[in-house]
Amino acid sequence: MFLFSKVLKDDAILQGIRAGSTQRRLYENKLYEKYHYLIKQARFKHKISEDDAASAYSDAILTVIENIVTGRFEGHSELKTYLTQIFSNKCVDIIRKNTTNKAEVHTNSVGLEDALAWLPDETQSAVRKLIVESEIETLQQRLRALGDKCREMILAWGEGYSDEEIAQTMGYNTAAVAKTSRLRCLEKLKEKYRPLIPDGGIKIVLPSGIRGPIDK
Amino acid sequence: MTNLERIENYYDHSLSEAEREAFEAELKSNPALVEEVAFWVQARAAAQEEAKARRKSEFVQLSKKATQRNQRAITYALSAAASILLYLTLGWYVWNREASTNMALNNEWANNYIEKNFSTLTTQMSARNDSLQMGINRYNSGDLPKAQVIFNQLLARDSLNAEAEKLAGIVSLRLGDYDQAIKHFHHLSTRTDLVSNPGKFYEALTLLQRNLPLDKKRAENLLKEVHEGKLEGWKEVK
Repeated sequence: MFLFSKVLKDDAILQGIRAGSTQRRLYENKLYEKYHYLIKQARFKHKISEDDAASAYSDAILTVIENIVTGRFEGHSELKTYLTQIFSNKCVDIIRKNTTNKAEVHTNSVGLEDALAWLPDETQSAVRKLIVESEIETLQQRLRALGDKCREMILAWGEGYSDEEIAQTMGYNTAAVAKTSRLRCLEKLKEKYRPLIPDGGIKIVLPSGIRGPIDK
Repeated sequence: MTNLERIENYYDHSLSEAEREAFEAELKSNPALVEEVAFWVQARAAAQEEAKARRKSEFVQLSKKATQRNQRAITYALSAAASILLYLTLGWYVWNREASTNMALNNEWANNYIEKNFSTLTTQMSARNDSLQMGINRYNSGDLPKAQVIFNQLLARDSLNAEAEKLAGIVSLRLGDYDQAIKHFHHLSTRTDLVSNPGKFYEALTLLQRNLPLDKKRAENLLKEVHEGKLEGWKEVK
């Protein structure tokens, strides 16, 4: 019967993803399945392995989803064209990585840069110095060690779900309650993360003009 | 309000202008708050990366399912195509066999009739020593080409000689000159002045013998006319 199963139109998929809540994941999967055949095309076009093509495709889908949710994709081009372009870039990243061991050109750390850019200039450099990319991996490990509920909340936050959507999905009465719970979970993560730091804290290098505890 | 909540509100744009200014001012003098901002930024990046990693592993499962579905779809499509081809082949075989059987029966029937009735020709009662009798004698002695010449000469002299037309058709049929035989029998069948006219019946026999495309259909139509019109030979038609 799947031979005759209905293929959703792009508009319906976009609407479903933008609607958020529990529907979002369903429509994300629909998007993934709808253009799954691009993996096969990419294997021949870019001459990469099936695993690499599938990985690049997953990355491309995640980027497209993020851009749909955040409003970066405004629908000026067809969804398929947009996805194909991003997918092609991801394939190129993989080819470069495989041939030259260079880091990917189309970096994923856009969120990190966005967060830093939002800060005032003088604080930005201070925070930037505190951030070590490898620490993100450590935090991911600590995140996996959290309780199921806390982990799910933080991951949903990481996927860009609003507190209202988290409240609906996880059964909280209001977005405010969900937010409070999520922040508590973040506190727990911080507690699990802190003991790993030598001397009980991060060595902070403050820009000139900011007085730290050492200077007191 | 905890520091993490203040940081969230700062990034959510939910702080008032005064609160935002105060927050940014405190960042300049409070390393602990800067440290918390760094943690929050990293935690969010870690959450994003972890969420992506989880979604990617879910996509791997989806990909496997999609691949299996595609393979099943190809298998079903091939099975369906093979089934249709099998049914078509079987249908064609049965139809062809049936058609061949009918054709064989009709040919056989026509052959039997010709062997039984056209091996020898009945001698004319008057036993006159005329050309017609000469032709019959030649025919019965097995000299079919000479008999054909005699009957054709007779017809050339008297084109309305129905007996000569019939015999010319029969000898042509026996010689395998089906086109000529059909010509004679068809011409004979158009005669309306005869008490008994085997033209259509013999034409049908010849068509079955010739067995070209559409001959069988034409023979069937003629035999139908013979049977319905109770023309000569109708009792032979079942």
